Amino acid sequence: MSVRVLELRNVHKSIKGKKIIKGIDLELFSGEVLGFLGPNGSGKTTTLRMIVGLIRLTEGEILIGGHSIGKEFVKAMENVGCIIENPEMYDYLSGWENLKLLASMEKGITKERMKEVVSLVGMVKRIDDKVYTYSLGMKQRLGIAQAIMRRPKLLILDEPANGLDPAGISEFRKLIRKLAHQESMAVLVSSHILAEIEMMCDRVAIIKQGEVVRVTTVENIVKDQGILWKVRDIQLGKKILEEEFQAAVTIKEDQTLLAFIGEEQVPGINKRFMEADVGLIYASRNQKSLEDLFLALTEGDEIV
Amino acid sequence: MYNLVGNEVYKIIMKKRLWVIVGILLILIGLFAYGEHYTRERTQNQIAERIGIDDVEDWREITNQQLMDLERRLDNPFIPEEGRAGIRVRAEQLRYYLAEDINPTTFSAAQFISNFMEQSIFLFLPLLIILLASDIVSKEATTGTIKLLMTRPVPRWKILMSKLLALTILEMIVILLMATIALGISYITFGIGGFREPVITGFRVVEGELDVSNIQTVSRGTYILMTYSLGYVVAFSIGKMALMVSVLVKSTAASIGIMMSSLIGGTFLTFFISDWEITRYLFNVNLRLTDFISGDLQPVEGLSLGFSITILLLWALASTVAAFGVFSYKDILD
Repeated sequence: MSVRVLELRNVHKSIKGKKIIKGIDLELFSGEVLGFLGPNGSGKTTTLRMIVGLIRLTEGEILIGGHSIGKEFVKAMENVGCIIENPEMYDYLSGWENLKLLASMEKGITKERMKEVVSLVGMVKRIDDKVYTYSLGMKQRLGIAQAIMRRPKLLILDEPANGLDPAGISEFRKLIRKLAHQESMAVLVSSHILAEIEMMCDRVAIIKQGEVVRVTTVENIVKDQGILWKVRDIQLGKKILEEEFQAAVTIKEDQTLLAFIGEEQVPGINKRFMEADVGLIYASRNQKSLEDLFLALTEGDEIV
Repeated sequence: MYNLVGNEVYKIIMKKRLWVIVGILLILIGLFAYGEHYTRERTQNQIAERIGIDDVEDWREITNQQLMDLERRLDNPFIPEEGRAGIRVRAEQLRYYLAEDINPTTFSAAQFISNFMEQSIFLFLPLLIILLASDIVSKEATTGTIKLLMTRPVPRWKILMSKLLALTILEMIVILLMATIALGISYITFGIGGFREPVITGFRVVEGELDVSNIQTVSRGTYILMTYSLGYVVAFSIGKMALMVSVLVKSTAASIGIMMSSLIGGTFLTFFISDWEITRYLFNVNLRLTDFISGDLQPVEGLSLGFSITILLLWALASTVAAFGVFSYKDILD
């Protein structure tokens, strides 16, 4: 049974009189991967930093495993593993020394556990080298190792795929899904790579100008992802879709028609297009569903 | 807590900052020893030549001559009153040495060690401590590793406390390094030990006059212990101030710059506005702690050893309070 691991209640943050976060409510359950999306300057990183106690709340409350991050910092943080922005480590120490240093700051992380996470992130060969010799991808792996070594109930990853090569990204995705579904961690991931989020996450929350504008399951996004038509006579095609099939239609940049409509209606529409001589070239499923949703929700935004 | 302090000490050692300090000490003490040796010899030879003796080892004659030189300078009407006080003190000391049959011209390894601390306590020692302490928080802020520390299940005050304790330990190590390196180099240069030789301490200047009522004779070894303990007081308080600046300022360069300029700027202040009442409460005016026991003249009148130590410790306390206040509440935004 899934347990509520993280809860944000009406979280506000003002910095120097400027409202950065304007009342965020969010929940995260064990065994679930939540993607946190938002344009630059939307307050994504600020929110993540507030969750791990790096930034104080102006108003509201954040509970991790039932403990308030403001009032019971230590108890709350015992449940959290995180990488915030870049995976910075002490570069004059080796990877292993870094892990040892961080492990010694709390109880219960054994040497065996450390070895286990090192092999889990595929760093066994290089763990005794100094961190300044590491590539960004290797630092990222070390960062993940330190985040998961205490077996957190909540894992927070800010831009985790940064610097990983395609094979690394795919491995990382598998690791995250494994941690969530087998060890029932709750994972909160922020990323700009929407395709990545779509493949990795169970739910997404989209944040815009300090407010969560949409929380939905990836399943839902894929389900109403819409159908694309490439036709010669765009205006006529649009008119038919709107008038005869009551669909909401947008004309995309590449001069295709996008309509959110059930798949079962597609043969009928295609048949009607043929009859009306719209000049149908192809019809397809919209592949960039999350990107479209993201842009639709956040478009026209200035960075504030 | 023990783990955390261990981690911090380990980090400072692995940063190799301590090796830089050892390097600087080796070079500087080497130069200082050579310089001291050279000047001693030259003055002795000059005086010996002037009074026409061949034996530079006859300290009574040389001291007598130095005393006469000083008295002659006191007759010079162009020397200002502040300068006169200093000369009078020095002359009084020489007279005391002659009367008590103590040779002030010998130069031993032990004397060099205490001299070195007397010369470095107000600038060189603070600089070493600044070098050690200025990046202790700011470097973690610049590289972002502060986020690693602050997202452990450890309250923030404990993190800063571990840094403060590690720093306090390393200040002690720096003082010990200074003593050890000075001992090593001076043994090579001057040979003689001289830890048992008597030192006269407790001279005080009251309104331009030398007060000899509190004079005590201690062994050179004890005297070294006294000067290096006072050195630790300075290292301790400068370290806490550097820690505070390191918390307040994100860049290490700025942090070192602020500490250095306030240290050096404060020394200037003592020259220009020494009669302004408030200057005596500045930390930089109170750094010359060893002068109180060696009998050198203080730049600002009316200071005493107790007063100066109190001021330094108050600065350390205020810095620590400020550092903890800011560190516990600040938002880590980047």
